[in-house]
Amino acid sequence: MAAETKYYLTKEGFEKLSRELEKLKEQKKIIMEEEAPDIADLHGPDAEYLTFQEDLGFVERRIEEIEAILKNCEILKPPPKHKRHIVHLGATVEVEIDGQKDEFTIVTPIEADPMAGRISHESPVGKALLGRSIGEKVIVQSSVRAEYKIKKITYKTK
Amino acid sequence: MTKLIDFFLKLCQIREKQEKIIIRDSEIGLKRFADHAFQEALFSFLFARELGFDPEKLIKTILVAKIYKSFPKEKEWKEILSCLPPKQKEEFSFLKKQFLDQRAQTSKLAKEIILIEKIISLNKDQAHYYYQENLKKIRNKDLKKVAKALLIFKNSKKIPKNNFERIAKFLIKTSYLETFQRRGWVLRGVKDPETVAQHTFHFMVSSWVLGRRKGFEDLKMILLALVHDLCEVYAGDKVPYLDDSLRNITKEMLKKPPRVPRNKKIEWLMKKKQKEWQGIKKITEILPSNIAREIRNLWIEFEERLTKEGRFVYLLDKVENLFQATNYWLKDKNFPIVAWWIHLKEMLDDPLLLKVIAALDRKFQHRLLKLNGPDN
Repeated sequence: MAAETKYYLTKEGFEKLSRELEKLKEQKKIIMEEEAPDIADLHGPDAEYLTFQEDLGFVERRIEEIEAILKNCEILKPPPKHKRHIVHLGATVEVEIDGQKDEFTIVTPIEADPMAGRISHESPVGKALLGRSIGEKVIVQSSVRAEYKIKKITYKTK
Repeated sequence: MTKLIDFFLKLCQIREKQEKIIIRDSEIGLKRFADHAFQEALFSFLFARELGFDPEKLIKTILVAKIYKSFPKEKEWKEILSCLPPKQKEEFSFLKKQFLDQRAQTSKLAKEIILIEKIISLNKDQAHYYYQENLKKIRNKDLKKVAKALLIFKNSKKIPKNNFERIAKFLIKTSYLETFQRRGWVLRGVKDPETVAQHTFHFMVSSWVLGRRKGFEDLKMILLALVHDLCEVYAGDKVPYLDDSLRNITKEMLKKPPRVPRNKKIEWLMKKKQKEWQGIKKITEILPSNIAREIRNLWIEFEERLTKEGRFVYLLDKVENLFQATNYWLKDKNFPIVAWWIHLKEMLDDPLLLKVIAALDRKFQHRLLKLNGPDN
């Protein structure tokens, strides 16, 4: 039997998926009720995400998917204190790029949302930052050169 | 992969080609092929759903017909086909033949949809004349109903009474996207910038072509792309981390990817989501409820990346922007292309899309290297 995929999630990512699961279960009930009102009229966009799917099949598939992730996930723990100057999965990295400051949290693809500052560890920048430490200059290789200077690395410890 | 890059860059050229129609012996240039293609694909989808048939063949026929009509010379068309993987090359050839075959059912329907859609872009007098002239060519009785409704609702605030009228009114409202120029290009001073509709046309084709490589269903890919910007009829086009007033923006700011503190990013994203959700609700509320629900579901699947397909198409949208940006940069060496490249290296984690941009990088390597300046 093939080994089940292991998912690595930040604590926030785990909590977010758990909340989405609860909402989807509520929605499933509403959809299944006879003469259910239009879900689009009941829900506004959630503070974090939109989960007002109205298709029962879709909601059920998503419930299954999230349950599988939550069942097989490991919540990322911060590395031991003496390794916190290095970028690991789950780290929030403050960088300077061409005179501008930015901040990324390095996460796995299921949690990635670059527009919100969560970049995937499989993206070229995510990959390049992993394993590097404060003060290092990281160059992302391609014809257009971009240099990321690591200013600060933090981990959520609670 | 290099061939596919050529294909996507050629697609950008379609944008510049205008479709012409003849009214009262004079030729009128209406809109670009790509604008019409967006609206005709949307029309096909709504019509097929209303009548309970599969829209896939119809939408694909229309997309291929538009590409063919933009490159009608044998040599040009062969060049387009030579860029595609063998199976898609075969499919494009088949769809083109089918479109040209007068007897094929899909071809008849596609041609009638293409014919009727023009009503939306004409002024009142032209539309009436055009309708009278072309009515006899429309065999499908349900399409006739939509054509008539288009004519009625073009200049009227009447409330639609049946589903064909609802579809017509929806198409008139979404036609706004054919004139709505994308803000990112406008801000950067691009001359004759791409409209939302033109972008959607390119995006449908690239989602279909690249989605196939990922093993995704063609129709799902095309539909995710088709609906993804419909909310913009009411919500407008949001430029990352800038407020809607678009004030206090300097040229320097636009040369680099936007960098703002995380709380500003989240705040901007939440506002965008709220506004776009209201937008997609408002634009779909006029439609028959089953179609409205399907569009909203597809839109959320894309916007929230709820499935592997949604996630892939969401990222492909960003790559699509790089292709268009490259197209502008090839015409104007001062176009700030660097921002797109850097941004994508933070955004993309899909192996296929990373290969696509690596191939684009290789194609323009010499020119791109010069952008780093003499010190690098």
